[in-house]
Amino acid sequence: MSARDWKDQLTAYIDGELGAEEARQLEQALATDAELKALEQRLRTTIGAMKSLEHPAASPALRRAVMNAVSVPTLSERLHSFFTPSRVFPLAMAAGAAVAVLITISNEKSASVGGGGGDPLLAAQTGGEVESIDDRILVAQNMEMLEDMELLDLDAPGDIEVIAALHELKEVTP
Amino acid sequence: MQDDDARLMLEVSKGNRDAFAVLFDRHQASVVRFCHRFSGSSAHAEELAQDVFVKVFRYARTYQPNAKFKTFLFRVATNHCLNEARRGVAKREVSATPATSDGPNLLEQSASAETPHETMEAQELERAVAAALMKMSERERAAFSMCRFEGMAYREIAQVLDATESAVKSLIHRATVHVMNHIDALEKGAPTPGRSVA
Repeated sequence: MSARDWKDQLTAYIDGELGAEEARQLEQALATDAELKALEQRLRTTIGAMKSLEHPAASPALRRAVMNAVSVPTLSERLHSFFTPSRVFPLAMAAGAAVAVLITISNEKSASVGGGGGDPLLAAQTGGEVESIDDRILVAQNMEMLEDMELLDLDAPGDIEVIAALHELKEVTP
Repeated sequence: MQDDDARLMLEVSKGNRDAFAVLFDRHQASVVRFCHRFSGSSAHAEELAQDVFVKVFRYARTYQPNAKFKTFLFRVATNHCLNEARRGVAKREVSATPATSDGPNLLEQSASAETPHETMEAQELERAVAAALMKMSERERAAFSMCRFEGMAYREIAQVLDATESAVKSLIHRATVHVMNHIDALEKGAPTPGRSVA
């Protein structure tokens, strides 16, 4: 190893981090190389001085701040402590009951909108779009209106008022 | 103490805050010292140290029992300090007062500072070292601090920095030479060296 390479090993040698064989070879180089020896001495003095440096002591406030910070439960800890078995089961039952009620109400509401009864045959004929008597009347009225519009060659939205009035005239006129 | 630290840390991973308090009391001085040397600010050191310990508690489940607790602790501390440095957290710039050419040898005087004069020399040495640390790369500063002020072995430092032992050897040698040159320059009243040649 060259003198330059040994220089790079000096700090590790001083720190006791060189292997036994490497350390032995470096010591041989130190014995014959004055410049290397002088550098080694300067490094030792520098490293020794580091031990004499003072460092700031931690204040009591640091301990308080850290302990306060870790005493606050994390989100996962809060969820874990809230959802205990004694709470989860009743909550699940209540949630299930609420869903069942909502489904029931929804079914009843959709059944009552059709005027008290659905016509399965009509529903089948209309692809499910018409189920009740009220719906049939509405469809018939619309179909009648469409026939009138076709007869009179009308196709503007404003003409719907004319057609509606036409039926009124039919009723009035004997 | 090593095995006891690992045992305590396993308790911390289960949420045991009493075990955490014991670990904190054992290692707070080291962490504050490291954060102080890394940041160059004693005021900022405690903020960093607080963050480090809170992270240790929060990430306790990631601790592997086969690793030394101190290695885990300093990995958290190093990563946190490096992240803060990269975020551009302001560091105190230390300006060392150059010694006169006839002034006493700073290194020889500091070791047994008792008189006011010696105290002043110790303070000058402190400023010289702090200034030298701020001119190093962050990895050199971390490696030097762990080696010189925490007494950690190169192998442990390599684990903390996720580097090879050979790389750590180079980091510490360069950093030590840099500090040496910085102190020499101040003693001679010469301009202080620039950044460490990495």
